[in-house]
Amino acid sequence: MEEKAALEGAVSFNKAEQLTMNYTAKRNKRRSNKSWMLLILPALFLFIFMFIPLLQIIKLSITDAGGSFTLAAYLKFFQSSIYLQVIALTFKVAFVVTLLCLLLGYPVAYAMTKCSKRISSLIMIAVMIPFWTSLLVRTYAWMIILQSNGIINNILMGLGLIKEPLQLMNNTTGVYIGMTHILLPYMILSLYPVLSGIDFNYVSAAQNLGANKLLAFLRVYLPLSIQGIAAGSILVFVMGIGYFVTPSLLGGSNDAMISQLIQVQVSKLLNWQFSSAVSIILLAISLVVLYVSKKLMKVDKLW
Amino acid sequence: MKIMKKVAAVVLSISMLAATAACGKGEEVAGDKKWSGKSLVVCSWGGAIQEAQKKTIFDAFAEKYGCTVEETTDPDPAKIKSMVEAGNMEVDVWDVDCDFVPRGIAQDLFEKLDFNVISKEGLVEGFITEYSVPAEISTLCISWNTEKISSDKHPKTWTEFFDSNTYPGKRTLYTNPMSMFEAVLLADGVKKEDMYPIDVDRVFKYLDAHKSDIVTFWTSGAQSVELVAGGDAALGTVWGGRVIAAQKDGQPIEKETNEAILTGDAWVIGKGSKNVEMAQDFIAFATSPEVIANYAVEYPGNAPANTKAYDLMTKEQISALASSPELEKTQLYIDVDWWVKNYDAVYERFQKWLIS
Repeated sequence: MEEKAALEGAVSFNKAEQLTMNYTAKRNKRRSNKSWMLLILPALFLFIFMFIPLLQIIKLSITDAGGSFTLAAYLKFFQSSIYLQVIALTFKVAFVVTLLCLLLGYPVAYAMTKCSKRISSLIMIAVMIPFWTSLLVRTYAWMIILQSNGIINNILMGLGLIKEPLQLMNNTTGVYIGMTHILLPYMILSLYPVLSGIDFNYVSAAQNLGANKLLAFLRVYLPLSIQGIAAGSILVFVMGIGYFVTPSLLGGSNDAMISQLIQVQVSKLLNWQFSSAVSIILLAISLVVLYVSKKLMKVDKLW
Repeated sequence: MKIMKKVAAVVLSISMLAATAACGKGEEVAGDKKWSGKSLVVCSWGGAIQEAQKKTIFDAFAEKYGCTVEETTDPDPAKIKSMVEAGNMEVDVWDVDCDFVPRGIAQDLFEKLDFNVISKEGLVEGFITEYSVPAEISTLCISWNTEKISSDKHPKTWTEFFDSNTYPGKRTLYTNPMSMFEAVLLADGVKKEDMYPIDVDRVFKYLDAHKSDIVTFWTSGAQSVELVAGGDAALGTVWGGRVIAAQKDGQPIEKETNEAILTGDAWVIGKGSKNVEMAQDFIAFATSPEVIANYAVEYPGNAPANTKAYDLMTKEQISALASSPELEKTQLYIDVDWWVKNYDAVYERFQKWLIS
């Protein structure tokens, strides 16, 4: 009797659960129908302001002045060593900047997860304020700091540590410093949510089982944070290869980045066919980087 | 009310005439108000140049023709091209770099000039085309930081400019091969009259030998001043007008006009301008000797594009200029035609040299 009642109860509970599930599923279905509609406007925006212009750029890159099809611009790019060299330089700068951002950003993001809420929100503010400041303003601020009669050189010379000013800008050093500072928030903001989601008990467990701090970090914590590292690095790298303003202002003449080359072709030489081709190549490279890193890191849930 | 307005206009034009009369004739009847109520859009370089242009050209034109002149800045060739391609020319008159002119002509970006309206008389010949007339002559000068190099004993030639034993410190040069290469070849002992065709190999050989003295190649006029006045470079090639503007700000920079390289800006009318006729009148006005003389007095860092302007200037005013018939004897006009034919190849080679 009791058993039966219990069974019935279970059945009815199951039924209720099923009903609820059905209801939720239906509701979800209905909701997903609606949420699809929400995408219309952004999709339309992207279609009109990104997709169509992009198609036009592709078209521009494969048509000559007379309007007939040609791959001359792409051939020119791959035949002359200079453009490949500039691409290599661009990659080198973006790679070094990504590495610097990771080295500087990881401890900051880690500290944010470990210290008190007040301190960590203070750190967050310190990350966000430069993030919200105009890129141009930040680059000019670096010029004031780095130039030969700038703040750093004046202090060092005032202290008698150096006799001649150090050359901190108009060279690759300046590009690294400026770009790292500007891209660092992207790294920290990608790392922080992942790091704060890591259960520190795993690390404690590793230490309980005899691992020292370094080993526990390398074998347990670091692998758990790989998604954040991947997301931040890809973001910084892809943004880095398209940088223009900062390398133009802080770099030397031998720090030509690919975007500077595109600008000269657009504005100075008026060769829009070639500049379009270079832009498309830059876009293709960015896509390849994204694809490869996604495959390598097996991080489907990055974004 | 209308009469009052007319009286005011007449009074204004008379006072304006008086101002121009100080520099010369001005027998042309001012205030025919041909374009009354109309508006002309002009695009120039901003900064001190455009302020001087507004004072001596734009306002005077608006006054004389009863119209308004709307100003915009940054005559980027890409802007003109995109306006032409969009079929919507928003700017009537552009003040552009002389080397953009042939490129723009090849891509059909300008309206033809009407030389019945615009007088070629006195204009610097090398910079006249069917589509353009010179707006002013720019001077790329030897320049130095006065805290690092004494102005009493400064480099007077390009050879001295590159002499790092006598003048220690870094140099900065223009990243544009056009005009920079000429300076290099003068330094290497090439004579003015043997400059063209440019011996590109010789330029790179000389640059190779001096590469370690060059801190960077500047890309904008503002940057060149920052580098020299800020001390990152002891010496640099800087536009004469930029030096004068920086000196007014109290910056430690000075220039030498000897052997300066002369290039030019040009007035052009954007293809599809809705005010072509008014634009022709504007260019005729802006290149007339009186107006050019007024402008040269206001902005002496460059030189008049109309040689007749010198007749209207005092000796003192002429001696303040970065170029003049007297100074021109040691200075060099660039050959725009040679550059247009060779620019792309030379530019590519220069880029290759830079990153090597």
